[in-house]
Amino acid sequence: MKNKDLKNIREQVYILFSNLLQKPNKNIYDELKLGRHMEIWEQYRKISNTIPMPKIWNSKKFSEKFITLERWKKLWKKSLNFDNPRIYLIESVYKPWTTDESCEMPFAKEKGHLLGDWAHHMKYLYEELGIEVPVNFAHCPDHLVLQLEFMSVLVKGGDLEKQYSFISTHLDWLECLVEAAKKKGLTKLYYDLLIWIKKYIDTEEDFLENSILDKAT
Amino acid sequence: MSKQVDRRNFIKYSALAGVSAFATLATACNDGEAEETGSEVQDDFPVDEKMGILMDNSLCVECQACRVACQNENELPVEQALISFKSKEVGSYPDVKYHFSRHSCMHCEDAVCKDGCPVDALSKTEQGFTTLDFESCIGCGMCEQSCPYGVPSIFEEKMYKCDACQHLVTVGESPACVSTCAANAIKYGTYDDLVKAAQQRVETLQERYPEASLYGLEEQDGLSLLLILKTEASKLELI
Amino acid sequence: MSITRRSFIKGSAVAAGALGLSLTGLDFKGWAAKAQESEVKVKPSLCNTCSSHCGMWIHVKNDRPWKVTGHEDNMRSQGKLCARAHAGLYWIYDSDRIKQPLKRVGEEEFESISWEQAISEIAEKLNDILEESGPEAAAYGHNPRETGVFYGNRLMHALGISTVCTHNASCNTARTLGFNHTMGGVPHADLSNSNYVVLIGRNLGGGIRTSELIEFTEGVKEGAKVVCVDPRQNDSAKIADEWIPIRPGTDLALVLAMCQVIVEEDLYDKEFIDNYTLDFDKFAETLPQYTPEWAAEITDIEADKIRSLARELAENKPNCLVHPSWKGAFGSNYENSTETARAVAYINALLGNVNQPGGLFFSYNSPEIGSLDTLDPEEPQTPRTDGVGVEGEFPLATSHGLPHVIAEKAAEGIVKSIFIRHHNPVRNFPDYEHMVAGYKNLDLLVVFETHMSETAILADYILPECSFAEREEVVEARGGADRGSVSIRTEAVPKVHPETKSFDEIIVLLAEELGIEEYFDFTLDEVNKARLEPLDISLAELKEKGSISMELPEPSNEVEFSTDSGKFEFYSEDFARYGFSGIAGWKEPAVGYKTANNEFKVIHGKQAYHSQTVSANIPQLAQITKDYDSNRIWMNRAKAEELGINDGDKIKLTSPIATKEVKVKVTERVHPDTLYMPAGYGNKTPYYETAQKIDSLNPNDLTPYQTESIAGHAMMQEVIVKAEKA
Repeated sequence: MKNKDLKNIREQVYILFSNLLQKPNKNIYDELKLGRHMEIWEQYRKISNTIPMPKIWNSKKFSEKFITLERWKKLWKKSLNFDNPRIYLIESVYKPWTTDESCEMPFAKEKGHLLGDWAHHMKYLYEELGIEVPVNFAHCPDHLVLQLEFMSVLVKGGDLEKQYSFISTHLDWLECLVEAAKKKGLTKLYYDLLIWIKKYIDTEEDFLENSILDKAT
Repeated sequence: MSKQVDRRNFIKYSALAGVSAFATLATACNDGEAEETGSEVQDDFPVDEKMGILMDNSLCVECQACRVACQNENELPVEQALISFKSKEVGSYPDVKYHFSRHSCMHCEDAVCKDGCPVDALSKTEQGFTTLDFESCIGCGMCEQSCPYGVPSIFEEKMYKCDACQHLVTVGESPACVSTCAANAIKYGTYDDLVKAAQQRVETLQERYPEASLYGLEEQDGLSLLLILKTEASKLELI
Repeated sequence: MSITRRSFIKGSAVAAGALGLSLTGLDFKGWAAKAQESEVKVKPSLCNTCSSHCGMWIHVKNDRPWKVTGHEDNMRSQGKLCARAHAGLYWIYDSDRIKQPLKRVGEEEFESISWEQAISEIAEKLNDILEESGPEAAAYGHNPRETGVFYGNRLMHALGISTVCTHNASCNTARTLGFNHTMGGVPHADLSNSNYVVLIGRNLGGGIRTSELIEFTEGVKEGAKVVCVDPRQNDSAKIADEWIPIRPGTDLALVLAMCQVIVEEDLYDKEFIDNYTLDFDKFAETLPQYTPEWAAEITDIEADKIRSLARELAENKPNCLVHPSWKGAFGSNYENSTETARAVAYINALLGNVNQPGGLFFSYNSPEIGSLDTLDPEEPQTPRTDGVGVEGEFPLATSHGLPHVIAEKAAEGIVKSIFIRHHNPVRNFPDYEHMVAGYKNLDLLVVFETHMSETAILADYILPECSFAEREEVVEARGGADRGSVSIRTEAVPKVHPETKSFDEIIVLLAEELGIEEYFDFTLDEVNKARLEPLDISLAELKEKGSISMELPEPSNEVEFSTDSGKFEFYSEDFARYGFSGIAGWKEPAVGYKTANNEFKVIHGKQAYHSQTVSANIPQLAQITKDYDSNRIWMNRAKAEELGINDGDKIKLTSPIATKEVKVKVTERVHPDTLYMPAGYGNKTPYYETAQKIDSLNPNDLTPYQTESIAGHAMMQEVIVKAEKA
């Protein structure tokens, strides 16, 4: 496969995952029914064949019999909605609030809080690039949906070092996320999706690390 | 009048005459310096003299403000508290007394913990406090075993104990437990001033509580955390 | 195609593949190291973990709070802070805060909606209710502090709604009513200068107001003799000279008997009685029956003890006091609480301690606050739906109102709409099911909140306020002996959730939609400037300093009362007019004063590190509960032995309305007829996960809905339970 195709498909996978985590809408539902996501994944599997797609995300499941659009919306609302989600898809929640040694807040080193260092660094990155974050993400610029999209932009830019730097500092919390999802009994649809994403990110990190090493030698 | 003198007078004065802490603080705020620093009152205690913390158990209500202020000031995990309280009921209803005492590092002059530390992580400061080099500490628990007061606590391979807020006292401020106490029960100052104030207070207390005493003058060659007790808390194993 | 389309990140940066971003920019460690170098700034605020509003400095770095310290120029904090204040910053970043306006779509199921939708739907529904059923069908409930009173009451008055309630009917309305009808108000207790202090249930070391704890301990240090009367040995008793256990609900008998001794033995201040009081003789005539022997049988305190207590107290007159208390023993607990409050006022009058050092002060001054020159709505003359001031219901009850009665009226369909702010009546009044039934039956329940409280989860609309550290509020003034202060909350940190709003902003939006914007033709800054005008302090200066203290004239020793007669009134015309006793006399608690062998009265009281039911969800405070195992109910040791109950056992309590289990602490420090349950546990909201880990009994689950006859309060402790090993 050509480098350009590789780049394109990786970029698309990031956007795909970001879209699958968002509030469901008719357009995406229709495309899922058509199996558009399966096509993208098949292409990616030509590069790395280690991760199977979870069965529950098969396009056949997105039908009147199984997951209707209404039901999908309900599942999303129950699992990932912004106001009272079962689990938070936010980096700060899974990491110590700050690495600043002078912080005297009781939860300085605790996890579970919003707007930690991680969020502030994301905010800084958006500002640097003149990217405006939608208002409902103000308390969580480090939301996974945004981070996956951001990663897609870095992939598009083609600089492997930047991609690796981002993935290793900002997407290294997915194991905790999956654990939390298990503990909280997240719906299977989304639990499987999170595992899927985590495996992809792990593979990506290895891929980037190796590519950089190859380049160096 | 320099600020330092002001502050030391305050300790004596309040111990002797019970001047309202508020009045003194208000005066402290009225000088120009306070405004420049965002109008926070800056303590200005000596940094090169023997200092101490005086805990008056006869005024403490165990409200736990010192514990939480300390946790915040020292960035402690929620589960770790450097200040706790030991208590005991003596007698039976209705003639029951409730005795309790602050339990935290006593800052012994003869610090057994320091002598036993295999990595020399513990040391005594010029001000008389026992401090820990957190980086060097290996959490072996030798100090925990040797401490006569059972103070050190090992958590995630590090030892935790009060260091009298070194980052504050070394710049002339008072430890967090002292600044937050609303019960007039904890004072910070030069060791000699505190001893004088404490002895006076104990004398007063003895009129009503003959067993009242000052703990810490003799023990382990002297403690930098001095305790005013209404009873012989040492016999009750509260210390 | 949608599935491969970017949703949020757009623009030139994307087209260029973020080429503009340097690799160093992506380096988190480098960024964090630089961020660490930022300066820590101190921003002033007022604490919100209880309603005392202590002044504090929030230390802020990179827009985030780092720690808090007490504000020295604030009368409430005087440079000090309690445990709750330090731990309360947690609220700002709690991931379970309410972030968007929410609308109920099912049982405890909410959907987020826009402010426009929320405001227009609420206004439309409220207007319909007002049109169909009149302003009597609507009510407002809150914790009455400056911002809530200014904006909330104003909105209600503009709509003709007279039923404005506070939490006080579960706190101190009986105390206030009793003092109003004798002394004409509630005085300040000069604890720091007193020689002899009797605390009846008032626990200064547990129900903390920082300034009062400072004064109290100064008094103790200066040698005041302190006597604590309480069925349990409370936190004040730890530093007091004496603990006198008493049967719950019998404090009135003790006070009457002390009065009897003081009058019979001529120990009272005759000059004060002659010059400043009315109808002493009528009171004195009733006293012979109240002998210490009579009281001993009721209170379980020996007659000689009562005699010596009365004599010692009187020997110290006028520099002594019986504390006017807050909730304590007679704020809202018993059928006889209003009468107890009047009797406590009587005994202080006998001591002649009014405006005397170490006594009770009415003459403290307060900074003079100005008011905005604007169109004020008239106070509505609509009869109050909770029966306050209504003949045949609660003609003498205070304007603090009766939220528990409102719940009853809501269940009956008489009240249809309630607005609630900074107040959690559903959990904090007796009989949870009763409160839920009422509030659920409303056509429109609007709750202004930061978190999903027990009241919020029943709301039709929840309007998210920003946290105390993110909002500006109305300027507050506090008086004192010879100093006072003005204070303000400021935006110490930027809003975490941009869709949250401060209360004044929300009220103005509502007013506009309701068509009464003419009453809100000003900004918050204008309100505050007007308030500061007489003080020659600029708003900008106050916002920077947070609290500013000032000298005030020394309180006068002249005696003057704000009663109709200007004198202390032993006999109350008002009480007599409505069929109550003109002179306060003995009245039994509603459930009597004695209990059978396996029966107990359940009392409750605050711990210094919790505030009602809002703080159990704060991890640092919950940890204290865990460390000291302090969410257990106290039972007297001898009684426990009789019942075969050991320390740490679970016991089963059966009251007229429920059976509950709770872990027991066996102790010598509580009266044998009494179980003491620390307050602040037993959250019912599923959103407070930390609180669930220290879940325990809330006495409101055992006490039935009831109303005291004079003040109408909730009689929080009128319940007898059977106890057995679970």
